[in-house]
Amino acid sequence: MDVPTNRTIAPDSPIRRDHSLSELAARTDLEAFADRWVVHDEKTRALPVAAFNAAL
Amino acid sequence: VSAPPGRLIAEAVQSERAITQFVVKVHSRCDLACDHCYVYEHADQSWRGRPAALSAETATRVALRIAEHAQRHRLPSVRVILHGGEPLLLGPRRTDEILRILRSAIDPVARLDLRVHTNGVRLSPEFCAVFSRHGVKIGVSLDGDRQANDLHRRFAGGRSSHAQALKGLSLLRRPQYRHLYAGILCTVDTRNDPIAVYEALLAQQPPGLDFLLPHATWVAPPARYHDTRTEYADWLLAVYRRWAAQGRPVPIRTFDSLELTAQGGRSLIESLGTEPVGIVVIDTDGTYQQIDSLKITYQGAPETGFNVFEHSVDTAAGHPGFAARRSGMHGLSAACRACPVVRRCGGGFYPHRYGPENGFDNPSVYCEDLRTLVENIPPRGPDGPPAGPGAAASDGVPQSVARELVDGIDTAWSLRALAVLQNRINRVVVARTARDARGEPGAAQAWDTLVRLEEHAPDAASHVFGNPHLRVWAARQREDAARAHGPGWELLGALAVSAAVASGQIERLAVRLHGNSVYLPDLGRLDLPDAAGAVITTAPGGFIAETDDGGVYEVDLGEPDKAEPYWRPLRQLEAAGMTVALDDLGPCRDCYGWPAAGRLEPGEVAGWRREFAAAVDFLDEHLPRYAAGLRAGLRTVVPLAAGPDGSRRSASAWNAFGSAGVARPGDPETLGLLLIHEMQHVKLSALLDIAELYDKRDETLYYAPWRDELRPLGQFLHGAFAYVAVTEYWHVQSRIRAPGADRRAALADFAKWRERTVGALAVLLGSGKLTGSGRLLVERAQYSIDRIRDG
Repeated sequence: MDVPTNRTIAPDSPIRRDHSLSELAARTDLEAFADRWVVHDEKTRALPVAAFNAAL
Repeated sequence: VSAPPGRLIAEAVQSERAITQFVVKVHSRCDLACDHCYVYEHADQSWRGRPAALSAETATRVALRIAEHAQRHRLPSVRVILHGGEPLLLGPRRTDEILRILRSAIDPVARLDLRVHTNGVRLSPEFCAVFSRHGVKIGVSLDGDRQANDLHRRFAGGRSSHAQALKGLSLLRRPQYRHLYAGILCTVDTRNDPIAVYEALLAQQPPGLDFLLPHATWVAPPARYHDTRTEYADWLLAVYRRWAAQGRPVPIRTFDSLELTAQGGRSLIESLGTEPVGIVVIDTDGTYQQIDSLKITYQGAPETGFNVFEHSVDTAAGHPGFAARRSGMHGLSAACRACPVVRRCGGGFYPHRYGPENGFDNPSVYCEDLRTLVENIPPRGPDGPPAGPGAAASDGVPQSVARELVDGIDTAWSLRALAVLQNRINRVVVARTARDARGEPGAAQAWDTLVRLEEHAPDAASHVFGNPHLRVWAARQREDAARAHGPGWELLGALAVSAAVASGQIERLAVRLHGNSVYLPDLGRLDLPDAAGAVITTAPGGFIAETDDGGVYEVDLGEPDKAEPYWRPLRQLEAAGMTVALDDLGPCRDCYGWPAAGRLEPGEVAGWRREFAAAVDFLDEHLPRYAAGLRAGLRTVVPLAAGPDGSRRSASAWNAFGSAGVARPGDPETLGLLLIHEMQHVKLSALLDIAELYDKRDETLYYAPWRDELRPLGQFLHGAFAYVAVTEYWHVQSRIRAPGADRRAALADFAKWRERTVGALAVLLGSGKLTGSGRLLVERAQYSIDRIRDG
């Protein structure tokens, strides 16, 4: 069975520690990191927006 | 480069003497006459001979001595605590002057962590503005509910101070002052019900709590009202068990310290553990004193004979009294040194050891209580989290978050840790969006303001970056069509305004309107017809908007709910120990798949408030771990429009951490159900941001019995996770409803949801598509369900 191992957050990820806003603004790799949390992609996110409507 | 051994030793001695905390008494009188106070009601009566208030001249000498000390020891930071008497008796203007003096002398040398400790009675918007300006965190003394508090904390004439203290605390819960709130200190009286006291304190939503044993010595032993030798330990353990069962909803330093020392860590407080202590007290006359509570022992006990005019802090710290308190294990009595629990209790608080014959060379007068506490508070476990949001913030290791979620699906700690990570994600996303916004009018100024505010008021910045809808906004900004729909780039300016208001600083910011309105996150919406833009000037407790067509609009945020024709405030829902925003204004609140409700009428808001408070009460009583989860993670409720058939509606969004959309169901218990259901989705979404739980390449569809349809694995996992909470809810209902048709219906619902959830979890485990973390999570969910198998 080919199940991926747990994703590890990259050592240089801006969420590994508290970055100041000016530190963030100075990073050239910000887009790549930010897109992961902004863009909704079925393959990477698994869930469409508002998929969790409760059906009680 | 090696240094000569002598120099190394000298440096070690020097750093050993470093004092990092300074308690500065700014007023030596008090407006209360609490009979347990160490300043006025015990052996030492030296306050009678001192100036009532700290003068500007003495304050200047104090500030220079602290700066000199910080520089000499190269201290990265020092903490200065304004104390009394009652420090607020100094009045806002003179307090402002003293704080300015401290900041201007110490800021250039070391990071200055300013605090004030007050009885809260005089806390006012004016004081909050002063404390906000200088970044001063506020701690308040409160002994519990009115009955408990009235036992001691009264005015000189006997009048209760409880209502005034609560009024002061209510100020600190307001969004614009929340970042100033440090916590509550409670002195234990074993005549009070421990759970009632704890719950009353929790209801004040403190970011931290602590309990103090009443000051006592072997000369004046503590009052004991019950037929047991350990009534103080018993009282505290009752609180501890409740607190632990609730998932540690707030850091409590005594308990956190006992858990930390149980696993070999360091104590967080002076009264427990054997770490050397570096605190000095400076009185209103500029004399250096040892810790104030020594006043309970004998007249003149805290005196050092040194003062800021003639002596450095190092000179004072050389006093033998400091040496004794700072000598850790060596300063303890022989009985303590031989005791197996000494590393955890540290011999107790130094003044509590005082006896008529041996001075301080005794075990604590609370020795048996301390030992009982130590023996009954275990370590938090090898994977156990450190306490409190600060600890979570410094951790940020995703695997530990996942493990903690698995190990206790609803613990508040895991949610706080996830909230810290979500806050960081929001910063990244907003920073990236601000980069895209370059060139848009006002965007650069808004970003520069946010950067500057973050340096001066990090808590205020952190607060606005916790807004649940920032990622929804950022996602829309990437798409032209969605951007045209709004809110556009102007939200960046609005975010800067909200941060400036939260910081209490005066800022002037240009904002653009979107359809004659500007929505200020966490605050409300300005409707300014006929204007295209405005300049907003923030001030503590409010702001003024001047429009480009000459209009001037003032908004007073001091009074919650106060609307104007041009201002619609965001209203709050309150329950015991929590406040959340009722967001019927935000432009991104339409992200829940169903239409959001429009602006609610006051009667509807009142209904929400009633039901929300009752829903949390219900969860506290019957599903306390889920209630703790709401306290730690829920920040906003978005009212949804009711369905045409009145059916229940609730939703969450993958990118809106801390928010749930709900159509008000009309009864508190159902509202409680909808909230915990959505919180399960919120948690899992946040976890999916940082961890892989399953193979995302899997294209198999799985039969979801709750929808009677096929779902992809991710949605199937979400459903199963949420229905663990739903099953627990129906289990509770099946036990509390009166026998008859109602209970039978609840039993049927319990059986139905349990069977479906158990089935779904088994399908997940059998899918072969879960990662290690995913498998742990599902197994833990299975364990939770199994525990309630037999009703």
